[in-house]
Amino acid sequence: MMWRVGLAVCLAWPAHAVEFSLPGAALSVQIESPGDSVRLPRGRWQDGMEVTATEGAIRRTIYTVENPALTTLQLVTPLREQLLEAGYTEVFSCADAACGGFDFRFQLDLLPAPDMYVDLGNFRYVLLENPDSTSRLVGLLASASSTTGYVHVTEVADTDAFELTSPAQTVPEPVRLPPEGLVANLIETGHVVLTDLDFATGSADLGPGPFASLNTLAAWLREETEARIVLVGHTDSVGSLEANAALSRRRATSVLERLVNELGARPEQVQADGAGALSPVSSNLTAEGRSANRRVEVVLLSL
Amino acid sequence: MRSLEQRPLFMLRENEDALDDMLADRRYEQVDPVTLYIAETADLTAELKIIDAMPSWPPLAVQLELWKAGGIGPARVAVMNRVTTRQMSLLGRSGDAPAGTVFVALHDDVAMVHALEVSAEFRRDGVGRRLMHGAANWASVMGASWITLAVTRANEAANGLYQALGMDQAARYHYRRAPERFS
Repeated sequence: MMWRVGLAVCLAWPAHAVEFSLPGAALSVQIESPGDSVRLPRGRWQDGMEVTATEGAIRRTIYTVENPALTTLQLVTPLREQLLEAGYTEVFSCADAACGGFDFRFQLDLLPAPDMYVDLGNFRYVLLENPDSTSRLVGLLASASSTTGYVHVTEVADTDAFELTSPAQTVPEPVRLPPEGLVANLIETGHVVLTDLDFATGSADLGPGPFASLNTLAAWLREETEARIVLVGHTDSVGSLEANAALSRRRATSVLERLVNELGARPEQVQADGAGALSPVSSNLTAEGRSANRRVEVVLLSL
Repeated sequence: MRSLEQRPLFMLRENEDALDDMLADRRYEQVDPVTLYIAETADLTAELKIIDAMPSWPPLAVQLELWKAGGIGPARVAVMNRVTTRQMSLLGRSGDAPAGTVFVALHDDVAMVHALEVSAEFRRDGVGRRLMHGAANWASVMGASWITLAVTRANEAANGLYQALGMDQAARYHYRRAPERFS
């Protein structure tokens, strides 16, 4: 079970957990999972090594800083110092190739792109530990694109420390990139993932919404009458190939119907297709990974 | 270079025959003859199912695996990551299986294709051709008039594909490397 939470709901995490402050940074995404496992490497990658997963309540947070000049060291230092001051000890840290290349990077169970960005040649990882704190283990991963610095924080707490009793009590309140970013991204790269949609498990029916991404996309399509897109549905790897291909196409189709029937996009502007489980963005071995793999993407066909 | 145990290496373009001959006389061996192919993007675009060449940036783990299996390791993926202009990777398929991958990046009016890799078990199934069409479709949406790539002349399968797609040979170059020891 996984859901996105807004700042107002962060109180679900025990109040005495570490409250991070990172100068100039904005919290862009936060995802809590009351019982899950996460891999937090305690050393550099070596061939054949297996990083053991730590179990507990997992909270992942991404902060972004719109400052291309910051190094990964500068990005990570404020949080690291804050944690050391709070009694944490540093278990391991490394940067770039010294961590062990992309094998290392793909051990890290990070939130996927586009929320997180990792430049394989420019990142820094720090693992800190404090058995006396609620978040007993904290992994920091900083990287930067040509415009933006990213810090991904993974916190592990004891499962019973999590005060949230039922997801039903949480009002999902997606914390998203500004919607304009979605269209800008689509025009800039020809491709974007719709990360705020929700489908019931095994169902092709799109939740009632409203979904900021679809409103933004529809507004843009109404304005750019020449623009044509294709919606591509993806599933996790649970189920047969045929079932997943059909389900992914039906999910894309229900997004298409929302755009056309309710949000005013013209039918000739939008197509729908399904890729089944062909292109996972994350591991199908964890609930969180499977959730990330169930998604709908937009590909720009012409403009 | 010699003191670093490196062998002098010259890049020879087409108008440098005199230098090329001179190096050949001195027993510099020819290395990696390369052909640059180019086509107008509009000539290479094609109607394609989007999942025949599924765009993704950054590349998916399965694409990194496909590249790795083809000898394109982290160092070359790091180069793709360092591109500061628009970049994209495409995942190709054969039926329900991930079967190939390609990288394409933009420079002004030109889209440069790089690291086209088709998994050995799925060769001769049109995967490479569909990925090239997918790259051209992306280049077209991005407004690039030209699509181009460099390939070693030793790679017969790839040269065959680019010629079959109607791409023109725009230029050739090769390297010459000094012999182990000067006599």
